[in-house]
Amino acid sequence: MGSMKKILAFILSTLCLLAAESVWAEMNDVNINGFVSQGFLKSDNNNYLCKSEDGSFEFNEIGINFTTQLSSSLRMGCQFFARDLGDVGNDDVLLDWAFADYRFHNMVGLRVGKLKLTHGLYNETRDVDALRTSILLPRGIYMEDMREVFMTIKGFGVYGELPGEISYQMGYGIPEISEDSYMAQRILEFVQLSFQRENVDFINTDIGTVLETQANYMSNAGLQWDSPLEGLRFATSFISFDIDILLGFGFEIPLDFKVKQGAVFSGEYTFGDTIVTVEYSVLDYKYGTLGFCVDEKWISYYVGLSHRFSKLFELGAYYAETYPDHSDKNGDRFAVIGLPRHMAWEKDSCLSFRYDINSHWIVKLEGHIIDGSGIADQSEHPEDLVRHFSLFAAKASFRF
Amino acid sequence: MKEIEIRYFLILFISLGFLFSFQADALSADVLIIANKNTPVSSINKRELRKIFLGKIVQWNNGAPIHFAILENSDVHRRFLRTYILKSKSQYDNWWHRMLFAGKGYPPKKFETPEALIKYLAETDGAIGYCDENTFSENIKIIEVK
Repeated sequence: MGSMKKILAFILSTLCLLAAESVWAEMNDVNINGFVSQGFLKSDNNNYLCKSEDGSFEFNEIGINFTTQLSSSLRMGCQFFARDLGDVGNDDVLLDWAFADYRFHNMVGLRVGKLKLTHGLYNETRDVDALRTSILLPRGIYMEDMREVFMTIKGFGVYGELPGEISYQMGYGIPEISEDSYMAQRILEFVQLSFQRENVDFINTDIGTVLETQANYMSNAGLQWDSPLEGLRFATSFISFDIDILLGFGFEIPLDFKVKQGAVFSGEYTFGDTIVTVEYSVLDYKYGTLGFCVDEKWISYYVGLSHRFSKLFELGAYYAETYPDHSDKNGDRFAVIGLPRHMAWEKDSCLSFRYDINSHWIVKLEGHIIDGSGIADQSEHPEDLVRHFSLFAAKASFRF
Repeated sequence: MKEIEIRYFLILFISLGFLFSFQADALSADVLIIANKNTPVSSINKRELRKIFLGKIVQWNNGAPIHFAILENSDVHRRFLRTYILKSKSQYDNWWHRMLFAGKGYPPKKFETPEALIKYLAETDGAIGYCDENTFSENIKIIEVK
């Protein structure tokens, strides 16, 4: 374990021992909060997010943040985070977010630094398992493939409350993407499949590496409206970014990857201990090189329901559909190159159970019945992917 | 693990969950919204009150900072949340955890007793909180909720 991991583990262990019964720990006007989660994934077919066919414990998150109010208008904070999900993360400690926040007025505040992106209702806290009923968020909207890019933006943002029960936030800067990131590797897989579909014979699609990445810009905006009906809110978010990637297939191939428009439209209704959520996402992306261009829309939507029965027990369910290319929902583009059609979609029925042992400890169990391998691991032997499969997930979390 | 085994396990889990289900949550008696005597408002609408306790607005109309306080783990806290914030205690706790883990907002001041909360409100300009009608003090003022 690297030295940074040891330091973080020691800090978290100490703070866990010192955690009081109150929800947040305070130390000399610095708010300290943290979480640790350890999970298990098992699928009966297809590897999903990790080597789940064999059962995998490579599924954990750990984080700690520090926030302080320096004056009535100025606040600063940062969060350190590490995760492991199959080949992603490997518990490398990252600076998750860090910024200064100055609130000029209720209508206008300014944030500068490394900011969380708004994308749907749950992106900003997607890594904190304790904040929701389910273990896995609908992956068609909260994509693990593009997670690094969709988590933070380095730049500045403005936010505030407007008349008419409207909240807004906007940001501009650059995303984070490295050559060995999961997103870069997935883009490489997209390109390899594209070369096969386009019969680009002079390129050996069995090889390929990501040599270099360059983030050019990112813009992000979010709006939320609290309707006159108590408990009903609507939200929308938009994201756009551009990345240059240099690929290696025995020779260098420059690629321009652009998300022209990533929009999520959300509705949430809370009545008593019940929450109903609906979200619809369109990700309009484009990439091109060597005279060909791929221009596709990734569509995903889901409806979810959760209910808290008591202090201890919460039940949730959702049904999600995802189509990585909305113009080919039947999988024709996979069939022509001898791959299964069901790589073109994923339909996921999920049922989740959450036990709050106390205010700090949470245990969850979850089952998924999935039709389609659109989001399953397609990197190894995609011709062997199975259309119908199940996924079991279990997780224990501690937060303070 | 076979699909049928997963289903049996989940059914067992649900059944065990129902053994511990259903907790009555009585809502009764009035909750008073109270504030420091120098607070620049004598009335407030429900939506503004909700925004204050959710950390969405941080300044009074005259630009003075808002300080808000809660009584943790009390029946009046639950009644206040249900009546004015339209959230259960777990939903409210979750809200503030989301704010903190996303780097937004600063949580409310927390007190264990009404006397400690009222003392804080009396001594802090721009501070707002709540109590039940049996613990009201002359050192603070009542804010009418429209």
